[in-house]
Amino acid sequence: MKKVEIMNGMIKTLSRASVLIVIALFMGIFYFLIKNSQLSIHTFGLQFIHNQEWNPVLKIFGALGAIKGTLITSLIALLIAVPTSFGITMFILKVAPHSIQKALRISIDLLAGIPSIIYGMWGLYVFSPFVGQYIQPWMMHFFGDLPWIGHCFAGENYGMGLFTAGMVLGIMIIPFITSIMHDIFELVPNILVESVLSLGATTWESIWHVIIPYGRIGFAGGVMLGLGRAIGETMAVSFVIGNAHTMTTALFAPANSMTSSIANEFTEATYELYSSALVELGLILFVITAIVVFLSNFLLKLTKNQHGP
Amino acid sequence: MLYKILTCIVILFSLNSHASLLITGAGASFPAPVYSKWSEKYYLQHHIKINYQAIGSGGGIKQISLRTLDFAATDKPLSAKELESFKLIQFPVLFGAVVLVANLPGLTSQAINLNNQILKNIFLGKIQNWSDKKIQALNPSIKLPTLPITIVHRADGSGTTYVFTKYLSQISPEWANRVGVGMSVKWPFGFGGKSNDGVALYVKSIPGAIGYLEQNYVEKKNNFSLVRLQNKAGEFILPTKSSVAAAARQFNFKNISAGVINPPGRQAWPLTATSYILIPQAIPDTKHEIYQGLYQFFVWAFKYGQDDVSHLGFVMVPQKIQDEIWLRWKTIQFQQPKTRILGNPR
Repeated sequence: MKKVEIMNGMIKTLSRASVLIVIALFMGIFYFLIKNSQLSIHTFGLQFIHNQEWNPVLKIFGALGAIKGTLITSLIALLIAVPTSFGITMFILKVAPHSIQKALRISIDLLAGIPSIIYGMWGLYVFSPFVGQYIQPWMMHFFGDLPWIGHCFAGENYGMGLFTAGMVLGIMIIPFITSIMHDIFELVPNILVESVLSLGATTWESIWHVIIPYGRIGFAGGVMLGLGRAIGETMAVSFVIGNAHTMTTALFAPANSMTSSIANEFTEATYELYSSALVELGLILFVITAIVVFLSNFLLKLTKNQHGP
Repeated sequence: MLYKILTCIVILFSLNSHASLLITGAGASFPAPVYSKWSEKYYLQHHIKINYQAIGSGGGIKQISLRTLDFAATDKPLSAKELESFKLIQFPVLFGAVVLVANLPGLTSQAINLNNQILKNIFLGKIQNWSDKKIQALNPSIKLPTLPITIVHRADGSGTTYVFTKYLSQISPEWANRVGVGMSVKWPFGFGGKSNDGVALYVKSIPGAIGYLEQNYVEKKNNFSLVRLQNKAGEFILPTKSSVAAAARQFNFKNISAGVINPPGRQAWPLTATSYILIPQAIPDTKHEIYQGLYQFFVWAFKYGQDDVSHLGFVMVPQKIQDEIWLRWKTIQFQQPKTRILGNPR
């Protein structure tokens, strides 16, 4: 019996240690970000977050442009990825012949295996010319005259910009969201689905009225995972976003995201205020991601209390 | 058995430690092709390895000031104050052209003329279309397309950006005030490409685009239109080895921060970039051999490396500047007071 006790003890300790190591790492990274952005925080204070001027010559740095770029591209990515992933999952599980389910699933997972820099290169060489020639002109024609959002679609059309970056990001996060949605779909007890089908519901009704309410926690979790991935993506975005530190509301104009600013400028940030400002961008990114995670947990808790299990 | 294997391994490692001297340097990517070629040839002849990594001028400056490298290369010269505070010596080695290219459909491989005023206005966004009368007036024999001008600049910090913005600041007080000089600036308009490849790619993909590149990235197959700039003497010049050499002849150590940007000289190319080397003013004993080796390398390079330089499209520093460079090498202090740089380049 002693061997079993030792094994038990070891496993307990190892698992505790793993958790502690992860938490320590998290705190360590947070500490590093705060420490190295001190100079920038002291120089700019809260102005940093709502100043849009990023001028390395005048040594004035403001993150608003980059923050907007990150949020807008991530939002576009979600708008594209969530319905698509949902459609893919529905198709694989409910519509497609059972025999090809596994093959379809593997092929979607292959998308996740493609390195992000390859997405960037593909986006630059193939996708952005395509978007610039076909998709963007159509959107400008269709949405350009609408009262409130029309001006977002104005301006020159190059194929590179916030919109293309958002689309590439959307394609990148589809496999993650699909994978989680697939697992959630399968977790719903068959008996619930079958009982509603026996009452005469269609496939779509069983999905809408049973599976989605049952799995909403998981779905939200999957969406949040995708959002986290999209916010932090660097290489794919910096290839197609145009890398311009200008503030513009036009979706088709070149812009910058927090990650692409850091990736492009970090190695040549020759003076301390510059690198400190870039580290502060990293800190803001870190905080935004943390807020996304906490917010998702909070929302899920609310919905759980409202509707029961 | 194990003991025998270990002994063999130890012997193999100690054989390797008879290896040649290793001198490490890093910095600008502009001169990297030349340094690679030189170090490759030098190793074959003298078994001394010079390891150069192109990490960017800023990286090179940072690392040499921390003394993690033996030497650094930069396209952006350090001021006398910076040299004093980092305790470095700076000297030029190569000159090359920063080139303006444009994507003008129908005018592939034709050169167009732009003068200072127009160039500055294009990059400040005041002239927005290629069909503008002012541009057409300078190019009477060419029918310019009615395309909006799209500016392509660098997304990452770069010595090439430094050279171009320095030029713009010199020819335009408005540019100097509004934007200024730097390896990274706040461009009022335009796309940022990642490194020279990115700029070349963006210019190639966008009809009506104009961008600045290091000469080596202007490949014939891209069919770019080269831009002729008007130099200080008023001549419209193409970037060629002879126009860069004409600019290089104007180099003056006293005016090192200006480099040879917008120099006088009828045949001079105004956007000539100078690539400098940075080495410490004082050498500790442990590095004695390394700097003797580095000195011999540069002696060899200035004597025998001319062909490689020419072949790769650059221009070497003129002879009279080389003399001043050797003088600077002699000022290096070693820890042992009697030691000096050995040998004489002649």
